[in-house]
Amino acid sequence: MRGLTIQLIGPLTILAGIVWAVAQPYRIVFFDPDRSRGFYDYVFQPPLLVVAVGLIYALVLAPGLVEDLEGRSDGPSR
Amino acid sequence: MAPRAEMAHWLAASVALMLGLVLLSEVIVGTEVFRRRRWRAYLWPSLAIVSGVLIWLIAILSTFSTIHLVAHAIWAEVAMIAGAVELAVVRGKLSSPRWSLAVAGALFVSGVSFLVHEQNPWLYSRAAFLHHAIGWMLVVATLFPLGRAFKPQRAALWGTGFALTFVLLAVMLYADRDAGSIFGHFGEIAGP
Repeated sequence: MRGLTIQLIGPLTILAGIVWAVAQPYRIVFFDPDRSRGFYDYVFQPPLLVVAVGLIYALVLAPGLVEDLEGRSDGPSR
Repeated sequence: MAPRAEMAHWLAASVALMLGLVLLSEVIVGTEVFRRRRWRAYLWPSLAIVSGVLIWLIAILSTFSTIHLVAHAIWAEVAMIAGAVELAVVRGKLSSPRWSLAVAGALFVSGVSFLVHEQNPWLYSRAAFLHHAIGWMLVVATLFPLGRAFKPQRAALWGTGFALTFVLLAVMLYADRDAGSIFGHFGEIAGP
């Protein structure tokens, strides 16, 4: 159960970002490119940042946590 | 072109969200499993110290009034102090649960700093509302590290509250706008 919870945190965070992007599509400049907008307007938008955090969690933190939780990593600490 | 203030706040929200998820993970799997890999044990203190360094940069380069400069400098200082103490705890240099008082102090000072440096009332603008809401939320959240310091046997309760504090902080910072209304209200001279 704890392993499943850890595995779900990342995807749920990503889902929250996607739902936010759908609810407020004007925040995603990629959907409506505008030459007057700068780099930050394209990249530093909350829904994209939430998706990025979820991705980092799901790809970097969650796999090792689940592995350690299931006791598959019995070697010395790394 | 420098990013607007709201974008710096959204980036800070992302760091807070990651911090919240890291702390929540530790509560879910337990400290022993979480620290089985050394790099994970250093995540929270490292993120706190790096946040302090980044807030110093913002304080130096992107604050346009004395009161904002002082507020950002205070957040930078307390983040680095809390991170340094937690680093020493993880390293085993400090062992007493009372060292959580350093984090409690950091949260309290941060909250008071939010409240003191906001000059406008709650419904002046969205930014003013969020300053008040975040300030009071951080002051109340001081209870979690305080609880960990004096009732360490309830670590899961205090840990969950502490982790969710950062998730809530992230939600509030993501909601920030340089110029935005709150519940239909917007001060006549509000805005950047």
